[in-house]
Amino acid sequence: MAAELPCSAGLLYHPCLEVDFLVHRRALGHVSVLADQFLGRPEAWPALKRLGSFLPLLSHGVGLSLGSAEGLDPRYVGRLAGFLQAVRPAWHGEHAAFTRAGGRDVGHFVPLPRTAESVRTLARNARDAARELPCPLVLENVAAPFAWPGPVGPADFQRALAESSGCGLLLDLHNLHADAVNFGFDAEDELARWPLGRVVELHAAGGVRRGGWLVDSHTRRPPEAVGRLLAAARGLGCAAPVTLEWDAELPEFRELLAEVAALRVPAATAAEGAGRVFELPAGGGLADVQRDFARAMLEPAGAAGTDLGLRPEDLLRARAGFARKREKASPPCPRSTS
Amino acid sequence: MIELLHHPSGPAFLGYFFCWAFCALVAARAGRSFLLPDRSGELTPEALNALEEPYFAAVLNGGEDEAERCAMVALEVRGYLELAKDSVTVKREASGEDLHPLEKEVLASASSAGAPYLVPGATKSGFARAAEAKLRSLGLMPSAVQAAQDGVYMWASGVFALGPGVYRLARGIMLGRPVLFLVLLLGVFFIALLVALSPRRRTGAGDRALGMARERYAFLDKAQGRGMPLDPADAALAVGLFGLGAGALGGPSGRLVAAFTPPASSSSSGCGSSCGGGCGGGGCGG
Repeated sequence: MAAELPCSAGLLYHPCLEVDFLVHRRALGHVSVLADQFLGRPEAWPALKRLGSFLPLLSHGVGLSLGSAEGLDPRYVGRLAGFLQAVRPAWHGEHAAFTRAGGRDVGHFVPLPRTAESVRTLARNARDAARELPCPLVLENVAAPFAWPGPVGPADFQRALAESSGCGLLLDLHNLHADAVNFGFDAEDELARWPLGRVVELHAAGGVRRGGWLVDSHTRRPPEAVGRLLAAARGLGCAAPVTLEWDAELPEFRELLAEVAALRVPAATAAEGAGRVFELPAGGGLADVQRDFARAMLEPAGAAGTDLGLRPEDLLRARAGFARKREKASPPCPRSTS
Repeated sequence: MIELLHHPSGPAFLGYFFCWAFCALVAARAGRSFLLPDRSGELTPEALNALEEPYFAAVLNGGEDEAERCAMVALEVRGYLELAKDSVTVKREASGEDLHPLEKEVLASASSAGAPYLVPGATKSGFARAAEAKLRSLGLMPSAVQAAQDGVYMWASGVFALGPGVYRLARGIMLGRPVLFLVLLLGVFFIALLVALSPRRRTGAGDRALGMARERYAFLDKAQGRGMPLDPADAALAVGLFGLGAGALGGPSGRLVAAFTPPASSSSSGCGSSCGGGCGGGGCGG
């Protein structure tokens, strides 16, 4: 899949800036759309189809909740399939996480415990989704607001997810960077463990620190560390297209284009990411864990009475962050270059 | 009608003739699509692709003059020409840069003289004629035979519709009668004849292709209107598809309108040159 757009650098689409995207189409290798912005809004699809007649379109979403033990929401899958059928992106990315548990939406991505049960659950859901969707599904790593206890690292877990589900991977470099900063590991070492041969798309973004915690807010230019990770990935032979995600507090469009240009890094000769033998813990009771987590995030009593194996400060931070996400309304239209 | 040609009074004849010519022209206009139907057929991908090229779009839209205006816009955006009200200045000669053949022709023409405003068509472009031939072969413009049929039809319709008036005019002049109103009426109907029945510039497929290209590139018109800078190819395509009206208040074509407008005190002859979060919000976190 990634071979179609080798080392392409693109930008996340903003409907308010349609004319800018089209006028500057030659400066973009591709455009990525956030599918959830357009579900149930078929009146907005012709503009995307027009954009897709000029540039390769990629899609990613936030609402599939691939990691939910309770399975997928068939209504959401149907709406997503209709959108993808109309717009015809090269693939659709979704986060390897869950957002829904016990029939409730917690408002943002919750990382999965790195267990065999999680892998089985996500693989089952991914296969179910892939049957309905008209384009390949790829799995994206999330920036974790906390770490489930366990011996397996993020790269190994992503490898297990990809191999079990048969899906390609979307490597969000800023999420990897944020995890490295927040949990104290070396991002480049971790990147070297990623199965880069399965990576079909890269994301680059910038975030902000809130209370000492690096949040993937998509409101800043990618930091130098993300640039180094991109160069390292290219050096390891990863030629996947890279998309700049900048959701809010947008600068002038020409500045966005300059950031995209900076992401245009050639790749070394393609090589598979180094494999590694590891063993996942079996896990168990994923549905119960997810339901308890949702209760901890959504109910006034919070995490009281539940033992999720997480540190209290992690739960509090996640609770505050998810509440912020749920309350966030669409920001006003960013300004055009005109 | 023969009877009416000789006997009625002047005002009565004018009334009869008005009705006759009007109905005849309306019938001829309606009958043309029946007698000379458009046979351009389905649009091919090749025909649609041709209009991605600004100068083909311009030739289809407005002919050779329009293509030259496009070239002037592209040259202006690239810094070869400077267009301003009442003046066009050649800023630099063609360098090693890869210019389109039509742009080279226009720049050469602009460099060779020093008139203060542009006269489209001055280059007598060979490219435009080649483009017309290609557009005909793609079924977007009528073939030479179809154009000739259209011409014959127009003149035959003209004779049919205006003939009685012309006859009466000749007779009136011979008899020394006043003919001013008849001359005016004939003039009006002659213009109507040209407007309603002049040979078609585009086939039905050509109209459809142009409409689709305009819809696809509608953003260029919007961008021009907002004064957004366009690259040379897009600036030329905007003029090619939408004419000089494209974003007339904004970008380069707005200045071109002024450049193509002869100063009030100037003669219209000459030139040749100097003419020459998303909106979705706050990070999806992924």
